[in-house]
Amino acid sequence: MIGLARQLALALVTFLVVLLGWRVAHPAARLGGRAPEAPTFSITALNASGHVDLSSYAGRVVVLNFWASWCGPCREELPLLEREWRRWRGDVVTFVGVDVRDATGDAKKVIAAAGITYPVGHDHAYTVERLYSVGALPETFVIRPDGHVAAQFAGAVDAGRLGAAIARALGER
Amino acid sequence: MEWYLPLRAPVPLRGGTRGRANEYEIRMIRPPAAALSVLLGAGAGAAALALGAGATPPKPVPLSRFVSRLTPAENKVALSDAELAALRGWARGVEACMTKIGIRAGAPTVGHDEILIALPRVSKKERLQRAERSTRCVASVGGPPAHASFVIEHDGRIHLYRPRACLLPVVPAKT
Repeated sequence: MIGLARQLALALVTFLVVLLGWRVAHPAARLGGRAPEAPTFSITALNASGHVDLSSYAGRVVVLNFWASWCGPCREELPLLEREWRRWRGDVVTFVGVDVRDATGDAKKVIAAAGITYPVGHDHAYTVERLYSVGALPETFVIRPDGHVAAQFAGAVDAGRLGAAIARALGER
Repeated sequence: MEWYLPLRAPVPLRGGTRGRANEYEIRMIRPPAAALSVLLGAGAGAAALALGAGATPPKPVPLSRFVSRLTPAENKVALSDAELAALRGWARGVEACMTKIGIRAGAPTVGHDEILIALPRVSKKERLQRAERSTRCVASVGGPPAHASFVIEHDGRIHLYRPRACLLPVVPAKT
């Protein structure tokens, strides 16, 4: 009887080890499901006419950056984002800026001063900020071509981590 | 050949351990039985995974559960000696102003990533008044240096540091 109990315990341990190994190998499983879907939105463009519409970038990797002109770490980060945009834009990658809690005039001045060429829109009434549960600025999301969020960075990103996240998202096409 | 299970706790000898408290019998399982258990467990695990994969695809995780948040403690950039010196110089100006308007404040001290100004304990009402007066002092010395944040925290101390990000106040959901 004791021998049988011992064998069952060994079988149970093996069973759990197999499940644990699978969950470690599959990051989405650690979250208890698939990677979250990136909510779509359409907001007024600040550095072009018309709107910035996330759904129009389906099939591309999107780097979505939340920022504000009054936020020092955001202003410091902008030149890096512009550099990375120029580096990646030939690879089915789009950068999109979302200006939040800001005066549009101030935001436009900062965009011009930093020489930002990727599309930037203004979020009225916290709509997009709420959709993405943004808790700090800057905050950046990397969205896969299938519309799921691949990575999120709270605070300013560095080129190495951002590049790695983009490359991973491109690899999942 | 004998083989035993390393995960199993030793079993005390039958008939008591009087005078032989440290002696244990190691019970053995023969390899075929152990191998069979491992195979059974692995097979059951693989079957469970296969069944799980064939079932309804898992729902996407809500974005709010996916995002990571910066805590106030994590939101401080390590400062160079030059940056610490600049912040300390500015904090001395604030401290002098506070002393002038009757707020007792300690001399600025250097933490590893911030400058701290200690304030004596006061009541909640007085704390609010003091915060308002302190803010006037901050304005009078020209606001914090570029890229620095000046925060009066619940620990009763003034923290002067360089933030990694601007933490946003929570916007209440629409009802």
